[in-house]
Amino acid sequence: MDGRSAVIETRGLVKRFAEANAVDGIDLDVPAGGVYGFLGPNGAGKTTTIRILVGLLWPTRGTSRIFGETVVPGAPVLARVGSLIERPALYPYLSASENVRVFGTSHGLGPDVLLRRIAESLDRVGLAAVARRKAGGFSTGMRQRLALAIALIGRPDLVILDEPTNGLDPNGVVDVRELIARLAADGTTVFLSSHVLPEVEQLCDRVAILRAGRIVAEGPTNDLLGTGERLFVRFDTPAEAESARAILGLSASPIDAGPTRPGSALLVDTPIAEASTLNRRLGEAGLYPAELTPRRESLEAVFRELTSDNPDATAAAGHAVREPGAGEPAPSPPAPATEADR
Amino acid sequence: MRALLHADWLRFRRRKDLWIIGIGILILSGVTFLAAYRTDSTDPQWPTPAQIREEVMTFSDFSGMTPEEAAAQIDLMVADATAQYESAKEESERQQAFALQKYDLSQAVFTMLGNATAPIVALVLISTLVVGDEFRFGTIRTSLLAAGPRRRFLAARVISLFVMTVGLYVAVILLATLLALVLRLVGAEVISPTTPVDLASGIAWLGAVVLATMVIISLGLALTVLLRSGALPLLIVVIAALTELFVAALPIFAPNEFLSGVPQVFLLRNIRMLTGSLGMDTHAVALSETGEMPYQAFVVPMVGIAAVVAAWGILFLVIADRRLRTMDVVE
Repeated sequence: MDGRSAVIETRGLVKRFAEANAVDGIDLDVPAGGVYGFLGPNGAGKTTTIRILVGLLWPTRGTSRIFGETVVPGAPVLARVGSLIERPALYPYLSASENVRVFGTSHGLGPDVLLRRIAESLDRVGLAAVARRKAGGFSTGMRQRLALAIALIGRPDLVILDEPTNGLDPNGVVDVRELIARLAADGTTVFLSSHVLPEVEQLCDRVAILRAGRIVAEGPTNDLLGTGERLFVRFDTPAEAESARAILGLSASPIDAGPTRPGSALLVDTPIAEASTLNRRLGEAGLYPAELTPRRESLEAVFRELTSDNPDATAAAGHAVREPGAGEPAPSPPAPATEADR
Repeated sequence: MRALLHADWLRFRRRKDLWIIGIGILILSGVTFLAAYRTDSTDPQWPTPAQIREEVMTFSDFSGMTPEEAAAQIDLMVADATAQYESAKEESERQQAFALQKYDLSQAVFTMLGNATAPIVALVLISTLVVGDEFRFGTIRTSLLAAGPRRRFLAARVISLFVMTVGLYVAVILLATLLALVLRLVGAEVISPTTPVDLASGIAWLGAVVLATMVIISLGLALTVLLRSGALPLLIVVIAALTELFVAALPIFAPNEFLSGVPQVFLLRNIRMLTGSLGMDTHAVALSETGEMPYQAFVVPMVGIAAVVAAWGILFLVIADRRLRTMDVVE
């Protein structure tokens, strides 16, 4: 939490639909400022959690608070929240500017402020040129941009975005990412749910990963990726690689270092900061790596591991797994696993 | 609340379908009014003396009579038939004179509104459209978030629909007044009522019409919120109206005094009594034959019926409110 106060705080949040828990005991602490990533495969409970947070769903159990105030449908604090949830909700018979105007008016903005904000918000999402066109004729991407403009019209302190780059062309994606970054830079807290993992990796300071309605990992993005750091150690011969494996106590066999160097490399799960120690241990044994480079894991790899159907993969991943109800994530010691173990 | 109402106005004024429904009702009301005037003002064709004589000779049997006797009989029958036609003509003219009072400036509003069935149906359609579309377009999410407490969303819709209801009835009243003026200006045959309209009764009737409309609108709103759809509620309202007629006629309500009183609280029955009876009572002014019976407002007995109708409306709004406040919005 970096000492920052929590903008969003949930405790034991449960939402049951029919026979299953869509959300199964989520504890969240989203600090003020920055971009908070909310990840999970389809059906993990992301949108359900978001709908509870913005007061569209009643939780079955548990509590959620925004800016310290309990969230229930219609809670006054929700006036400080702008949201874009799943498919954009627009009036097709109204123009882009009229759509923004309707929602701006509902927020109680006066005519002068409203006119200025409508122009600003449409310009910000790149729809100024089509402000007078009916929303019913918009493409998916344009609808998404317009919904984003509506979410921002009230200048919210917290913006909750569910797949905001859905349906956007590459330029649109870049625009929206820049917009999110600008919002965060201006002090707005952005809660971002996205399937585009490089986007999350690039934008988010902190990430929570959901699986089957539970948070399986949560923490600063760098920490989450850092616990998956590996060292790629290449030797000149497969024999050296095999010796190094024995010295380091790795269970997995050496891997190929390329088509011409079969079995002559190792992937060692250890923090990059441990590289010199590892090198010294090998040197003391008379083994001198031809190459020793960090292989930092991508968020995608971390995500796949944590949300895989194979429970062993999650257990072996050694990431900052936080059980519901636990406090700050406590990273497990990195397991000495190689690529071949996965 | 003002912000929500303003937002509603921004949306509703851009909806072509609402304008089409509203203008359609005005056209329908105007055309029906003028068509009824044309029917009421058209004089029936009465036979001439020659036609009466020919009719008598065609359909009578004078066999066995001398020509003198037959001629005398024909004269007698023609005189008799002529007298009957004269009497019928007088009665017809009298009835026509009463009927033409309905198109006088003072009566035209009540004539055009009748029992207000068409405006009520139109306004229920409008109410289910404007709320049902929130679910259809998914804007219920943003609308509810903008409204704050969900009850405010419902309250804003009810007030907006009330304003629309009053607006539509005012438009109908203005149209009726305009058409009555036009009839007067073009020299159309319109009879001034023998007894002036009781203003309080007229206002009471208009109030009853607005109340009945709002209650039916509340039913439409409750069904729309329950079903999250704009199309089904209208169908259900129609089915409910027919079902009520059927149920009220079931023999189970006949056996004893208590059961026979049950249909007295049925909604549409009360609405029909409220709008129909008050309307007819008001018309009774125009149709009063002698003018000796001054118009008596039937407001007091109608208060009970109005209370039953209002109770139904409150029940529908409570259902809609409860459903809206407890519902999970998954659209």
